[in-house]
Amino acid sequence: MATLPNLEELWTVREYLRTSWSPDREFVDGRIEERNLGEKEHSILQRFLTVLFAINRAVWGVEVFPELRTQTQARRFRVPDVLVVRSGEKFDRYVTQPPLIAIEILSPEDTLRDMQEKAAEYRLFGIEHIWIIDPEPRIAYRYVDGGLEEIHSGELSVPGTPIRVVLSEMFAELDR
Amino acid sequence: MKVSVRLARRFWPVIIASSLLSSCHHSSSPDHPRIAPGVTMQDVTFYSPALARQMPYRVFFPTNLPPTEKLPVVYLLHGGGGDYRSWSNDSDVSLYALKGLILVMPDGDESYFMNEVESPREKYEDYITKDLLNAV
Repeated sequence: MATLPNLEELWTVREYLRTSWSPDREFVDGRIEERNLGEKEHSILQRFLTVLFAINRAVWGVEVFPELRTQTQARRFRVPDVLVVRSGEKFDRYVTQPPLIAIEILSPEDTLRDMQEKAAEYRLFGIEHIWIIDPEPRIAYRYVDGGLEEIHSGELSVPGTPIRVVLSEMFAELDR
Repeated sequence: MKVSVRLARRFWPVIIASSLLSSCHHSSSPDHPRIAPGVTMQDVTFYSPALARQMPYRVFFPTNLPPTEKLPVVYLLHGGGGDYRSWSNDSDVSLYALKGLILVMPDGDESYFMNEVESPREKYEDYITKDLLNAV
């Protein structure tokens, strides 16, 4: 009996790293996955966070990178909306060590369920601070071991550092 | 009752709640869960042998729950037109997690959470009373 060919073509890590898309895509166990973004609110919040971390980078001791490929497993590359690493941490083309913060901003097509799976992967990789922001209801979540906590304090922060994102200021950008 | 006996072995005490809560929360609608301070929400997908497919459920539990501590589990079944997100989106039920409860909200599609006679493969009762309890 003839064997049906595998119609799904899997990519190698090398092929993925040699290929670029705009917007960039993720690599999950040989599969190329598109990311949901491109809408105005997503873009505004991504810009706000990138600028906020950039202008405070000296005081906060960080560097910020929007949409930087991050190797979370041997055959997995994710592209967090905003990535924050500690100042002085060196890497070449893409991130291979857990950054300080990974921030994902939900697009209308994203689901909290899918985002939790991604956040769990980030946590397994070793990222300590994983923030998920939902623009439409203007809510921010922090991923903790086992699930999501809604931020009720009004700010996202990293304990022991001056890093502080005031949610009202961030979401006010959507009204400008 | 078989379900209670089985649950009671695992958790003390056990409450099963079902609801005819009418809901229009479809999977295509926005997901804006109300998570009370001090409560953690988790979405889980697991394989149900009874339905032969992956099924989701949502859980609320106290954030500072010690790993070894056993708490009563309340299973909340959504109403017609709803899904596993309905309770969390349409009510402040997460507050009950602050009272020491674990809230589990499974997805029942458009079923009545019973094994269907006309579609023998749609064993929603087995899915809830066997597969889900084993998964939680």
